[in-house]
Amino acid sequence: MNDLKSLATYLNFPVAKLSLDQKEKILVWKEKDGKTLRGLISIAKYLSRNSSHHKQFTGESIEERAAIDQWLEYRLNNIDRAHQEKDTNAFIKDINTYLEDKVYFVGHQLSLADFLLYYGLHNLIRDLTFYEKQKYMHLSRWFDNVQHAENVRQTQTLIPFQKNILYTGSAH
Amino acid sequence: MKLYTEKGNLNTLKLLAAAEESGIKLEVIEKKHGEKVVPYLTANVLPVLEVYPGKFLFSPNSATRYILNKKSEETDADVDKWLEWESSQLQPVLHPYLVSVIGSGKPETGLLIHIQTLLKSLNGELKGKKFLSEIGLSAADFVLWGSLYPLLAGKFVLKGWEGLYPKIKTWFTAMCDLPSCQKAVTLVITNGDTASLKESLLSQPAPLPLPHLKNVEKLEKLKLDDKVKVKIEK
Repeated sequence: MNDLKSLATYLNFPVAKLSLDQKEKILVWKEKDGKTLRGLISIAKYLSRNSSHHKQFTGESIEERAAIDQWLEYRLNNIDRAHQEKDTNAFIKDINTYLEDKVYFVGHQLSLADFLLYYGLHNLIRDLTFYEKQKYMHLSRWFDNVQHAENVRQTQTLIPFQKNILYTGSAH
Repeated sequence: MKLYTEKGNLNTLKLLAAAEESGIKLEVIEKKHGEKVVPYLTANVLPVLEVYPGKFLFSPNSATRYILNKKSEETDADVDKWLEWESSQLQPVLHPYLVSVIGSGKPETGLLIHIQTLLKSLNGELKGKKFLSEIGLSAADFVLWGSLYPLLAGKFVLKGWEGLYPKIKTWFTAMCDLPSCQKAVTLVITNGDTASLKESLLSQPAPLPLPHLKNVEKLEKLKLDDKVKVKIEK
């Protein structure tokens, strides 16, 4: 829930419209006129589309918008539901490889995909050792970049990354 | 655009139907079951749409919507909602159910209870509507039609569903009547026999389980354990 609250703040929407449906364990966004949105992706996309700020945030082309959709789905179904170590290891490795030649998840600027993946990965990255952060260096580089982007981090703790190489291959 | 898939891959139905509907030509490349296509993914997911060389869409829902949007783009909140619902609520129970019934011939009835709850809500949402979104035929319809196909048609059909979910029946029949959907069925399902989906179902990675459904399973196990205890005490 913290991620959508931060997203609402980032896009200048009132956070009070957000609540959690306890029975179905799903996030709900209620507008004054009765319009209701349910689910992480649906709410996030609704807010991004209706925001007057950050036009590029939802993608600049059909291709970019489709890629953003895909990564939001990946966050919801792969990252959020990974409760076994092998599932967690798989997505960390995959994302690290994916980001090898990229600054942002999609396109050349910060998008909704970066925003929600940053929030989805925060606690996991916080618990990595410096050795692991170095091992997943592309993921770490991306994360450090996003956490320093204006207004993204908000109340999340700033995670430290080592700028110089701590461990050399021969030592391990 | 290249579409990588394998014989009898259920998720290819929605993609091919969308391509037929929008008149977009796809170069279909058949891979072996379990073969990896996306270089950065550990899992061997299929189908995969290669939008540009090296640019992959490995989510069948995102790819289906993309293909339709190439012709005329929508940014509809209802489509968002149904694609999210399908991948995050329906798939975690539908996929293992289909694996149990088509894959091993032993239907897991516990999963069926969850599927029926979802079908009931889908039926309710279709009241007074021809298609899932107010904007008309959209990715939401193709995605759900494709996923539900082996449950609502063919050898492994859910008995009596038409009577329980009349609104789904009207919608599903209309979808099956579309030439684009008929073409997709002939391309994916050999001789219209849904048993031909088996190999692919067994080789594709299963969606990760929903946490609150895990708890339900635990509860069911607990109840079973209690019964065992009672028997011992007697």
